[in-house]
Amino acid sequence: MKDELIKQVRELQNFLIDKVAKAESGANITNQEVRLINEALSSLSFIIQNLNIEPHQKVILQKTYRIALDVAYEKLFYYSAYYYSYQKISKGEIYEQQESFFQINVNTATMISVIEGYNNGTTGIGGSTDDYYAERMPRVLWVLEYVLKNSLEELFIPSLYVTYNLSQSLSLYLESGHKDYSEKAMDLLNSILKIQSRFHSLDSVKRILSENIQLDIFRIFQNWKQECALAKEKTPINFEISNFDTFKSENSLRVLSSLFFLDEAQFTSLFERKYDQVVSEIAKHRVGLNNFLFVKSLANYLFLKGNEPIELDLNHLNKGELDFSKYINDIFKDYQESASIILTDDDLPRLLNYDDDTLREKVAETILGVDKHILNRESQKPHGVSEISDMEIPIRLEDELYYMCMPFKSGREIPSNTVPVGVSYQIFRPFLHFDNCVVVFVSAKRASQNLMNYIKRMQSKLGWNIAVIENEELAKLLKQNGLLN
Amino acid sequence: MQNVHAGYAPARHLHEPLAIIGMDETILKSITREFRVNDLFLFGNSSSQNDIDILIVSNDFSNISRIKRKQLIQKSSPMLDPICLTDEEFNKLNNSDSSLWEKISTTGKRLI
Repeated sequence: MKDELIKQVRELQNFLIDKVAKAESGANITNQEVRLINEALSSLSFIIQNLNIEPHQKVILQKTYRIALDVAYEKLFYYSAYYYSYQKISKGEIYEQQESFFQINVNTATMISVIEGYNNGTTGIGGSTDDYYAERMPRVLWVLEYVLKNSLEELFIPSLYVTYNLSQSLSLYLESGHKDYSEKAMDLLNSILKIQSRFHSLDSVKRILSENIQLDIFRIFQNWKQECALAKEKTPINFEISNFDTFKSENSLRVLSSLFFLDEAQFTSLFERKYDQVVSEIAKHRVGLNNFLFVKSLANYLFLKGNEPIELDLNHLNKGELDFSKYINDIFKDYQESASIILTDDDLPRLLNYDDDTLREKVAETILGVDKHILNRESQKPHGVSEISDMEIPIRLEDELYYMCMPFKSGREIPSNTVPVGVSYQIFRPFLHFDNCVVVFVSAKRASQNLMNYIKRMQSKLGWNIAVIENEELAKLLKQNGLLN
Repeated sequence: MQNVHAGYAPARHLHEPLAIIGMDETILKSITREFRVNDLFLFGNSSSQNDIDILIVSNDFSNISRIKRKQLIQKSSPMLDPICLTDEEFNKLNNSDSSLWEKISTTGKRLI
């Protein structure tokens, strides 16, 4: 099963990269493609957050997530699907109504991907487009009210999907801890609950849910998520799924997706029963929805089965051929000359005693060719949650803007004799946000052998520009510049 | 020195005095210090110095994630609520019929 996951994640990543390339070429990305992108991102988010993968692979997946989400995000058009929904559904022909429901769900799925991106450390939430999500959602509620008021039974099923999807996005948002829209989200979620209650009280809806197990389990799952988000008492969950073996792959995978959260034992048992059939079926078709749904369930399953370390086979997403080592002497004053400096017995203890702020300020003094305002800002800024590195210095190399991202480790921060490999994610993370990026890791203590080997492996395998200025080398650089005092 | 120089773009003429727009000259300098700006629009309610809506167009953003672009601008100018676009993204925006572009084109002041 691990091998199957490795294969499927690679397919998923390739799919997303293809869509990014298509968007970059100027070709139109359809709503159907956006739908698939969001399904793929949902699976990717679970893997990023939960599976036991190496830090550099997490960064590659996060970068894949980020660039693919940009493609879906571009198609939001400021939630125009929400904005025009009432007009299209109350006045449109049946095909316009169906199209509008589809687009509403695609917009909602994109916002879910944004929130998941926030949760998995890839993106932020906020800005004018995201503002429209909460501002324009009431128009969709008008649609649902219209359907109820006019008893438009032929629109009940798409309406139910819309309410559950909206509810999913709002519950997810409230659980994320992000604050900007929390009041609005709470109000909207409570409004949707009332609308849902009205739907669920109708005999025709009860019949729909009894005949559509996938929709009914989705309803139960969203109800559970709402209760979590609103801190309500949980409704006991007790159901058995019958006839699961007769379900088609997509239906069974959708059911499993909800079941993972509701009933782990049933999920595990049913997944094992369905595994061979799904693998055989997706092998016969082009990469698509079932692959992405399957990856998610497979990742869910492996997570429950002990979450052993897994090495994925990923596209490295590399761009550019810059060799930063050619420029390092131009950026750090007298870097080459400092190699011949002799250190006294006092020099290293002095270096190890500097705190993080002092170290940053001193190293900033050695940096050439960068506006002093920027150096002062970066060397004196407080540590923030959203910061990628302790210092992010814009430099121009070959007439292109690069960011020199500098994580720092002072002697006081590291209790052990050497810097452990556990800091590696901090060193690799800048490559997620900057395509043009060099990382200079500055450390008062020596990096451990494991850490250095990991860095060298990434330099070689991924072409990441990572320089390390540590311990004696750092002391010599500062002393050369009269800063080791 | 091999093609390394400060991230500074030369100052450009403004279409209106900054004092009238209510925007501190240092804010403008802090942006052009780091990025080569092709276009800059102030829009929305610019009478307040808090949460100034600004659209910045620079191809330097092309290799930077969206969330990071905003963070980089807000580092030196926390009062700005920036939208940061490359030339290509800006062209898509001004060819769209979005309410955002309508707001910028009707109420915005071009600063560069």
